[in-house]
Amino acid sequence: MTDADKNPQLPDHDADEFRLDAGLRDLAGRLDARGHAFRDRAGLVDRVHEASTEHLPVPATYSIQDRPGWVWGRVALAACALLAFAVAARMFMNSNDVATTVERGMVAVAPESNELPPLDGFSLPTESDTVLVALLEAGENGQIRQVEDLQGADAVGAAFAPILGTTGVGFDDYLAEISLIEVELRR
Amino acid sequence: MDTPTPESLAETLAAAAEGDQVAWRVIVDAYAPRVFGLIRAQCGDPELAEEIVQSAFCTVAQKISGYKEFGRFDAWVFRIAMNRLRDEMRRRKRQATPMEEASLVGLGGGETAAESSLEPVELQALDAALAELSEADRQIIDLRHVGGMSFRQISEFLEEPVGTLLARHHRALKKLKEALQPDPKISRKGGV
Repeated sequence: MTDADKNPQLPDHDADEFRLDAGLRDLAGRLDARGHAFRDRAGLVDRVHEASTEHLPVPATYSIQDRPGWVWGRVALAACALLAFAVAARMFMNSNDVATTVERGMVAVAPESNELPPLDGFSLPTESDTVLVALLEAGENGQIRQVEDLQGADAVGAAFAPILGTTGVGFDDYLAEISLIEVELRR
Repeated sequence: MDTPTPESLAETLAAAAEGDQVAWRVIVDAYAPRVFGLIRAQCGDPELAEEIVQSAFCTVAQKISGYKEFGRFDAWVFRIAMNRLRDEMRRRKRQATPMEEASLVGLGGGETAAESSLEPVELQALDAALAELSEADRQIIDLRHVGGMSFRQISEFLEEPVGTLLARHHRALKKLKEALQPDPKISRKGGV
């Protein structure tokens, strides 16, 4: 078995030297010897190794600095997305607060314009706003006195009087209406 | 240093690709002298040859993580070094003055290996005979007998069929043998 058979990386002399006559085989041997002489140079391997080692890839470790660049890119992208979501959520919440504040301000000035502000999904006045506007309008129209007359009838009357006053209906009229309804229901 | 077997070469390359300096040392031990010998034989200048080998191995180290071993590592390394030599020779020719151009002609084999089992006279005769070969014939002799490449590896390196290369090698040996025959003409050139 030749060296070439044992190690395919070595020159496969047998492949061609079968066909070489003795003179040519001898010449090939001398060329091999010349070739070996050309390879010899003191300290060559050390110098080549020293010069090239720094260009090798950095050994894989588990330290955070050695993560590949694309990992940091993804982390940065995720952080940006999270930050954008947080800012958007904050802005959305702030816009709701602002809408409510503005709408309440408009309700406060509504008596001067004699119109309620436009209603939409984001600016529905609260029940208390509506009551307040009604009371203010009633006061301007002189109906507030009737409301004041109703105060003190009883605890329920005192509570309902401001509301009933806005409609021009007295508390006694309200009680009479309730009684009529009860009579009708008993028939 | 013996050239690793294909199996051990694949493992060693994989380890070196992960930054294993011991594995890289094995690669350098096995290949740097062969590449150096080939470049030295081609350019005749050991200083330039070492410079080119260092540069070539720096490139190999940089690119080794992307290299996939399919039994072509030899061809890959030798090609990087030979391309580097060609670039250097072109650069030198561009910068050469007419006086220096004359000295560049001698780079094709003027330098003789210092230590060999051959007699110095015999080495000189071989160099003189090699100088008479065509560039293609001389290249295959150097790849085969200085670079230590198999014909399969030379085939991958030169991208030519193995049969063609075997025939060319055989023809080059015959020309060399004829050139080395005792002849007044050869004797005169052998004395250079």
